[in-house]
Amino acid sequence: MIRSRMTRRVLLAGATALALGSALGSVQAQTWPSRPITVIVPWGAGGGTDATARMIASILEKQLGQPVPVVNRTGGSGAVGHQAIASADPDGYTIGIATLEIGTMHHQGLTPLTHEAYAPIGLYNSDPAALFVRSDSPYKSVKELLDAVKASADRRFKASGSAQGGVNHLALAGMLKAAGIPVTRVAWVPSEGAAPGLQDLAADGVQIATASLPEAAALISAGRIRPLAIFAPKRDEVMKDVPTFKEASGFDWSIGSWRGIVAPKGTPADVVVRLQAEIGKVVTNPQYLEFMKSKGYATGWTPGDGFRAFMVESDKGLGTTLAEVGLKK
Amino acid sequence: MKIHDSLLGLLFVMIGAAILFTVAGYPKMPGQDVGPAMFPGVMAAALVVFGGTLALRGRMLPGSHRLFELREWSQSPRHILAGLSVVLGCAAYALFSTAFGFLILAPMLLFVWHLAFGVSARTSLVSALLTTIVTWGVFYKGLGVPLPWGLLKQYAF
Amino acid sequence: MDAFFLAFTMVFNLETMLIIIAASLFGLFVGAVPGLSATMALALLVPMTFFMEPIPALAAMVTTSAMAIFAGDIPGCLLRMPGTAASAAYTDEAYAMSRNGQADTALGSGLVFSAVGGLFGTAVLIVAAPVLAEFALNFTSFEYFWLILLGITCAIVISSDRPLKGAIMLVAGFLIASIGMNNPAAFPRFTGGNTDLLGGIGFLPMLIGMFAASEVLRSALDRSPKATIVDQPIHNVFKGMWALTVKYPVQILRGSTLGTIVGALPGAGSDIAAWMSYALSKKFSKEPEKFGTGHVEGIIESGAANNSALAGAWIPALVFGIPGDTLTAIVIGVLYMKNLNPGPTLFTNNPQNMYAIYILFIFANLIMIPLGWATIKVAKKLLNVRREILLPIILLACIVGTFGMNNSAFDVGIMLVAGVVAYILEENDFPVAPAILGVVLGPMLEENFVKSMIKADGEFAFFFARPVAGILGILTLMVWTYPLLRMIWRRRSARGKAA
Repeated sequence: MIRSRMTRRVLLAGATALALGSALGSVQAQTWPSRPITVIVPWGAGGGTDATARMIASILEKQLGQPVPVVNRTGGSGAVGHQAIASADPDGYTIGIATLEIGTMHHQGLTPLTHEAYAPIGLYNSDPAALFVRSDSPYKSVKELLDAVKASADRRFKASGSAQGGVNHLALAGMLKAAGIPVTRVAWVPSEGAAPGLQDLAADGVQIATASLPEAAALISAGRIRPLAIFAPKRDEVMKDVPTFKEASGFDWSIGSWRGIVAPKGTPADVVVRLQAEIGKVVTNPQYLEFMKSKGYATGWTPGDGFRAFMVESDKGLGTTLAEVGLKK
Repeated sequence: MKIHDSLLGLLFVMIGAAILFTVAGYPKMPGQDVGPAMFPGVMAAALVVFGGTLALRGRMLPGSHRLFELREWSQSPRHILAGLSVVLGCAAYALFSTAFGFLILAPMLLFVWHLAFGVSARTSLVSALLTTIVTWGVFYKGLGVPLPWGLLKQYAF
Repeated sequence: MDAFFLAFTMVFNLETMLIIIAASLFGLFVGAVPGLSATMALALLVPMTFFMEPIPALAAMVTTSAMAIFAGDIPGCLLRMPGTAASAAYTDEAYAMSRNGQADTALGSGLVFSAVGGLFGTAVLIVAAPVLAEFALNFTSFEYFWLILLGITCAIVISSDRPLKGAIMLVAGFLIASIGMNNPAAFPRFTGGNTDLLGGIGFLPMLIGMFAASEVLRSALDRSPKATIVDQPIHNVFKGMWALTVKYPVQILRGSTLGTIVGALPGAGSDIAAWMSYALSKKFSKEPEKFGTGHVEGIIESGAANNSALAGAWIPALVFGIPGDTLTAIVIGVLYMKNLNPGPTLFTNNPQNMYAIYILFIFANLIMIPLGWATIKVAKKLLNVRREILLPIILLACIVGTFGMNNSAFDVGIMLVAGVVAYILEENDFPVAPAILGVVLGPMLEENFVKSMIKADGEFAFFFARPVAGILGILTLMVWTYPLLRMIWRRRSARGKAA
């Protein structure tokens, strides 16, 4: 009884706060934006997140008539930057890019932060991971590679492509798991991002690498590495000859990194709606589409609730994979 | 401020030892033989060795054995004041800039620094105001650095 | 060719040109004001470049450093106070020339042969870097591990007169770099539960603290009297330059070559190149007795050397991400921020950026001549700039620059601590440059160390298994034992003398 009354009181208080908040918010939305809007990127150089964020910011700047500076808060495998977005003033003048890691970090015990700390604005990009070997590798297909790994001693095969517990590590672990091979069979060599991991593959430092196709494009076209399969339900639109993992092996497994725009929780609802509309306009801008296409990044736009549902789903899937790899705390 | 090598060497040995003690409790990476303790561990060990060598060499080499010595600035109140203003001014900015805002704090700090460096009050005032405006223009308007508004938030432009 | 054309449009547009002009004036000013160093100029520039596109940012870095290194000759010549460390080698010589009424020749040869040396170094950069990059594409973590170790040991053991203190600073830099979660295990180290420390100690607040704020503090506490300017009229600085070129072609070539090589060696930069060239010039001169009395020969050779070293230092910086000196350590920090991660893939992924860097180097060395000429014209006014007004302004720029990156007051605190600690350590003859090398290279060294350990499954012999890694490893171990061998050798020769 006491409990239900408590709940009602809390609800009431919450409703009042909400009403107050939105009343204040609407005042804010009329004048918003009256000063620069900062975009926090949890990643520095090397990945594409920074590049895409700067592109979006530069177009948003023209649309809003206010400067939109991009600030990189790197470190801690993304934890620092994601935290900085969550703890910024929820006044609509700080937004940020959330990436797949928001669904992995809390499972690994790196941070208590989850996607619930944000007001979702929209998902703008999602690139599936792919599997690579060196061009002169004896393994011509996923099947040959998996057979060799299955027959080999533990840790004889080494693979790289991201930090420990990063998306590409999970891609590899999930692949092994799907193929019924113990995850510890292949040693993971952690690297700070995909680029150094792929470079290590090209130089014969490791035998396998996982990364997205756009990240590997330069080394593929230089003829140094070869994609074997893509971890997605359907083939890539540009590199059509790369089979999906399911086509190539018969096992089902797909995973990919994603990037979306979020605001701190508590940002006035009408400012969030405004942001959704404005950035929704940015992602159809020809200049933006041209840029994304030239870099090989996939485009799309899933605003608001759809983005939230996506993050919930992503979080659940990643939690399962991390538990299987033994990285879940 | 002159500190004798043997003292500084000892300090480095202590820092190195403290780091070694801290990293001893760090876990390994799951599924790997190495962990976050390895690299700082090796470096801290090196710091202990180098610091120890420095301390020993400092004791053995001829020369002054005074452990601590202040330079000539410690005789001049004006120089002490100038040095203090630099350190305290930076600290004041770090602590109060978000609350007061750049446009209030910066001219005050600049004015004090100018005076402390021996500039006349009038020149100090002019330079402080001019520098604030130019810095504001270059960093806030030009480069988009979100300098804090502080108390002037409602007048933000 | 497309990439080359693209590079051309990236450099020759209004925005980049304006930035180049502004950066040149800034570099010339900071270099010419005694007590403000080229490193300080670059450190103060970094926060500005943070908000620029990559190529304008690089343009600003290249021009500022080239101009500051040349302009350092001016106070050396007229005040006997080198504007930057790179001019120190021939400051006495240039000052002696000014007192003999030859200030225009001293400054003119500094300017002209700086530009010549810079162009020479650029030519080597253009030829050598892509070849090396092709080679470096075959480097794994083992080769990188040894290359970084070799570079930093060279920086400490060979190029410093205080190797022990340098080594301590380097190790301290590595330890500072390991604060936070930015390590292969993503484990928070030394944070004491502070969220601000999770991301580690930023490179920029450290840099600004160590090289700019500490200078302001030093000046605040400095009681030495103001130096007086040589009062000699300066006429046409270009007069007689062609005659000097014809008279000393070997010296120019030797200085440029040596400078480029020394610059390309990791850890040794323009200042060491200038000292070595000056010594070499004296050794091979037909009139060594004139050195020190106001003789232009050594100025020509070492002036060419210090600017060619600047371009040479970019070779390992771009190809391997390993800095040749403090200036390139800063540049590497900026490259990372700009998504232009140094390394061989920089050449394959973005050839237009590489071409743009080449064009920038050539252009910077060419406009140095007219802009340098103009600076010399107003030199006496620059030398009389009231530093007590300048220093507070620099201090504010330090704070705003540090704050602007992350909007974090915490970073301002880091800058202040770094500045005070750097000041105290420098007072006690600790070189601070190795610390910034440690901060820049620490994460890279650790990553390659951990990767190699995982690949080797704990077997240390694996570190020597690949041919190039083996050679680099043995070289590194040789350099490590060098101070020990030298000590033994000295002791033995001392005993020999005693007997």
